[in-house]
Amino acid sequence: MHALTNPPAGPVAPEVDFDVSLPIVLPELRVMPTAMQLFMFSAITWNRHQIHYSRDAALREGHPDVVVQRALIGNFFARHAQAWLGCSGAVRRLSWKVVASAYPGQELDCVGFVTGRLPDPSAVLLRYEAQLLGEGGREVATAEGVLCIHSPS
Amino acid sequence: MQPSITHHASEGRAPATRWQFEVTARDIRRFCQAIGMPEPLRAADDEGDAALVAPLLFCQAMAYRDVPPWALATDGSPLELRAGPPEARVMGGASDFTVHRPVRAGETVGICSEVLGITRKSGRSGVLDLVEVRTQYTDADGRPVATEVATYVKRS
Repeated sequence: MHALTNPPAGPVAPEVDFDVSLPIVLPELRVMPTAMQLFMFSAITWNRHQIHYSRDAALREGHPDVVVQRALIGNFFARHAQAWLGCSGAVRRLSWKVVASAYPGQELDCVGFVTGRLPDPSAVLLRYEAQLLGEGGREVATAEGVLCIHSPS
Repeated sequence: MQPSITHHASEGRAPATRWQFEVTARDIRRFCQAIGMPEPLRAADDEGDAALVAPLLFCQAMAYRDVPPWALATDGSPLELRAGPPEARVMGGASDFTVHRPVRAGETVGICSEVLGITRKSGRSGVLDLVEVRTQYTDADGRPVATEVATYVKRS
């Protein structure tokens, strides 16, 4: 693992006694994707699926606007988990499922918990569970993952 | 109504496809901007662009091949999703992403992508085909960098 000169801001996770403090509520991450962001994400991933940048194509498929990419939603969860970990750890695994389409201009709240510690004698591995919620608490996506706390050096 | 599920592991499958991607500092910076991250993280063991550490899911930037537009379906959806029934609406459904180590600027990453299977489900919302695509990323020595299994939803 690389030592970082500009570690992400966040609480220092190892200060928590994971055996007695679980579950831990993670700070919420609020995002509001824009049409420009969707375009940039399609461009950098070379995803040319038109529903992500052509409103006409999205309308033809029954959407009210261009659709936030599944992969971009995963990055919201990744940012959420990593913001809590700061320089103290890393996300090892992240699984997410989109359950409803999201559109630009909508505020989305990423909320989640560290719900448990996984049995591993050689590392502190924590179970992460989260949701991405739209207006009125509408569930847009769910996620679960494994976070690894770095050993003190 | 109970959903019915049929697994078509061999139908419409193409052989695994392999290609390489040279990661540049510009790719990392652009990916950061696209996901709403102000700037890339920097490793302490190097300087300049070589110190840039890509975000966790950066390998997504290498997931789709540089095929010409006319090779894609008319909706522009990724080539891998030609598997399964034609004339269907395609949407991203789910991902399972395992990260072995972060990617750095200047690396060459090998990519291997294959359709694992197609599962047909029938339920209240009609017939859905779930196309499962596995993409494996390895470094220049063949060691794993990341693996993603993405499930796309095709609705006729």
